[in-house]
Amino acid sequence: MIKHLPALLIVIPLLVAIITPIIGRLHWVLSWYAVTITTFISFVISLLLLQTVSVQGRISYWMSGWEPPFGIEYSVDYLNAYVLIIVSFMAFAGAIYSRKNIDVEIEDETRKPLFYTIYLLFVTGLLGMVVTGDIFNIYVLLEIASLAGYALIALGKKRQALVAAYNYLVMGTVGATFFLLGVGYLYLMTGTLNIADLAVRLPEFYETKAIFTAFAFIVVGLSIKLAIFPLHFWLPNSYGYAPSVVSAVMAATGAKVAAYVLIRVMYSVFTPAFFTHTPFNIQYIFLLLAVAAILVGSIMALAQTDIKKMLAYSSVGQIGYIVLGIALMNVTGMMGSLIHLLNHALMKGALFFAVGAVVYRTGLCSIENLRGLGKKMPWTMAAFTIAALSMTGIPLTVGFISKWYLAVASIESGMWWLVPIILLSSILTAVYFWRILDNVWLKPAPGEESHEHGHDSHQKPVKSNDAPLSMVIPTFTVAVLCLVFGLFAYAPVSIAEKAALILLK
Amino acid sequence: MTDLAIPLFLVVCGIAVLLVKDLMSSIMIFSVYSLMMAIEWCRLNAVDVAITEAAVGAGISTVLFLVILGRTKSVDEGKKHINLPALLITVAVAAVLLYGTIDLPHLRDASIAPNTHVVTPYYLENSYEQTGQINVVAAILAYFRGFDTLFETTVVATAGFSLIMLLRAGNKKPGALDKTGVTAIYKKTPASIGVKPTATFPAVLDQDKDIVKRTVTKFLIPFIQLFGLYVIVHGELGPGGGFQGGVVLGVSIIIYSLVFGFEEAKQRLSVRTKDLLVSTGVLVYGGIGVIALFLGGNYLQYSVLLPDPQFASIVGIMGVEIGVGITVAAVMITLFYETVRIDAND
Amino acid sequence: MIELLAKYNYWIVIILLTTGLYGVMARKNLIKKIIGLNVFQTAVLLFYVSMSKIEGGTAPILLNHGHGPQPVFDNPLPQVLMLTAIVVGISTTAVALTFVTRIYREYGTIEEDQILELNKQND
Repeated sequence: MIKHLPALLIVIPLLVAIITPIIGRLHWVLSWYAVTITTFISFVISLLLLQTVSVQGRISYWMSGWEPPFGIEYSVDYLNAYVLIIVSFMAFAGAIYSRKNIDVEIEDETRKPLFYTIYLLFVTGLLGMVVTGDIFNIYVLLEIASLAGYALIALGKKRQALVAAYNYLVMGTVGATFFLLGVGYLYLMTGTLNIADLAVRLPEFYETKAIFTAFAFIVVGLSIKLAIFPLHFWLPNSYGYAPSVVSAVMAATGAKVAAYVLIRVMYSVFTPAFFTHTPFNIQYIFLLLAVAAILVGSIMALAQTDIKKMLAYSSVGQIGYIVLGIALMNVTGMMGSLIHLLNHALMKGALFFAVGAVVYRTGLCSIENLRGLGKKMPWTMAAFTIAALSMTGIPLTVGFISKWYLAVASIESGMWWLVPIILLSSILTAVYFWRILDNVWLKPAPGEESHEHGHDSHQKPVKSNDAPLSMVIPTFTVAVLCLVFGLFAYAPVSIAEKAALILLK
Repeated sequence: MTDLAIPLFLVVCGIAVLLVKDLMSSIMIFSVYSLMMAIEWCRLNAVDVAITEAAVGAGISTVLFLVILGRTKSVDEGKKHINLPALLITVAVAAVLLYGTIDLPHLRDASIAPNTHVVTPYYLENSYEQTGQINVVAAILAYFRGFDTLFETTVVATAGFSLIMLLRAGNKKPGALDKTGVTAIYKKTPASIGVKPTATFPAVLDQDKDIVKRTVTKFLIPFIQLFGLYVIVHGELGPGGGFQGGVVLGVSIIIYSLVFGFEEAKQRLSVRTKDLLVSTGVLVYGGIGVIALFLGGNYLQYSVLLPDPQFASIVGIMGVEIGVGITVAAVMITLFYETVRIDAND
Repeated sequence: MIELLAKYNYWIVIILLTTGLYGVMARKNLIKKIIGLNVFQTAVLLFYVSMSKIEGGTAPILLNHGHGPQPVFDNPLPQVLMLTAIVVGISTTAVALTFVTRIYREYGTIEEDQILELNKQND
């Protein structure tokens, strides 16, 4: 069965997702078990795929038994395996976490089995986008992940969630259609849809205007999905109003996969040689957008009073880092980007999980509301703090490693002016997280201020009332992983290096 | 001259759709637009695509738009001033497109890459030998690129599930939302800015008493369903396939419930059974792939299903087409049932 | 001039695509935006289908079970891709209209301006 792993990775979650509403008729918890176990299986398969790649190199699987480019090829190399592990792990953590979270954020019992179905379809679409080697197949899977994503966002309790989902749907569909149009141009010029075959046939057309147009439409389409500044408008409201578990999993996986597809298109379908033929300097455009995203995201995050929206804007900034590494076009930069993919998945996952736990206990998510929570919810808030520190890029966290690589890559390619920008945005990040950490650990809870004037001996110790274990464990595990990969960075760095070397050979 | 007439008519319709003030007219023009598009594709020999567009664009989409329109306010009140940022973006996109078109190859030329690169000639040569299909479109759809089609069916199922989740379960009585404390404050606001919620769409709930309609419908439905089944299984020989057939089957139930009322239709096809069917179709499709895995082939490699590879392919393709048909029909009915049920509970 | 006419389907595609895109962005009615989105998508479908046609070709249905001489066939692959794309399009439209229904239930309007105003009042 090892041979069939690339197919099983997608087919198992797909079929379980389809069965979930049926078994959910007995009791909704059964659908939770189904989804948790399935995402775990996907995680194990991803690990096995990485192991297989390290033994035998690139894996190619022929769907329906047709040799590429005639049939659809599924291919796995270090890059795919790396992203697969991130996506499937975060989906698994999200599945465990969701059980209690949807009690308060979705409530309605009849919706729960369908929530799990769509959650799993979302994961299936994302995993498929990562593992497929056919550019039209990416489009179909992108639409599955997107449709599922729109529906998940619309589940948010406030009515603004519906408007956010609608706007995301409109922008997302425009993006996907641009992608489809670009693929059409590629097909018209080359006659093939297989990514490996495209890479072989494209160079002779690099000079043509049609191929540049194809590139432009594909990249703009993906940029909408990735929410690269200035195409990020859908993101803050979507993440802000969706149920917490949805925000967490989307921020941790959806954007990562869009970034992966962008990397694939820029470096596997096209090659760095293409960028010397373009009428504009693509590298500079990307660098400018990345810098703008980093700064605008950080500044907008400062202005927010709602934590979820703050985290959403901070995502815009973090996506800027990923784009920065992609645009630098050297191995170190690509490594920085890839490590930042992992890094941001873990940090944002942990942060949104922690916010979800707060919502579970208090029902509110404004920054004011967090006062004194450090004593009430020590584990959750510890996880939040670790992730926030990693976000600012303090040494010993994984956030430091990715920023380090990005800074080194900027100097390597002679763009030293990027280093102060990275530093500045780290400071801004520290500022907007300090507001929260200050509230959490140093300020008393809203009801306790009056006691401060009384005698110290009368003050009772605050009872710890942390979120349920099924929420705390995934939150804390993901946060601790930020530290683990910060201290023992060898594993992600070595995989990222191998992936970057393949891309930029 | 017809070479130009239909495309020009398309352009006129496309622009009119967005210029017309009245939403109802806009939807009707869109329906005509879809139909013209189908005719244009027929003229371009893309028969399968044309049938699908006629069924989906001109048929299902229009019905869906009308149902939703009936449930909301019906006049497009937006002032028609020019939106400058939108115009600028549109002009930029048009400029890039024009730039890219300059060195695109001429259409209708047999020597352009899609026709000469190995892929398409391979399909044309091997369609019958390897898959037993005379209609090459069906061979590619269900076998050469069968994995795409599995996910195409999944997209339809995803839409079906989303619809059920968002409409059915979220369909509480207006007062029920108050206890969360979130929506209560919104209660007054629509009226305060001068919006009057208008008539719903009661017609679809009651049965139609017109004897002519009832008799004609009763007489027609078996034929429509037979035609749907025919389209599903006929895909190997000529245009048609699971998707188109599924739409036709779904429409037969929709017509039934339009004429005989929703309650009556529910007795023929209960909501629970229909929900089950949405899953069943994808399961059939995916299941055939899994059987192929156990018989030693790759996923969805039908040729291993039976000793004779060509016959096995025909059987496999037939199986997945039926799977597609079931899911598509069930989702088409879902579109209708769920949008109508909201009224029923109001 | 001949150059321009030989590519006329491209021009039709460009006109429809930009019309749809402008409609999506400029129209404030939520249903109308979706109609615009549909026009925009069908333009891309037309682009693909146009490239499948070959001068003098026939629909890709084999004669005599694929034996003996065959006529020139149109390219079946873009047609297959577009079958998938149409299906994706209707699914997206269905989900979008679901949102519109729910938005109408919650806000009592489907005009973007009024919805934004209502959101502002609550913030």
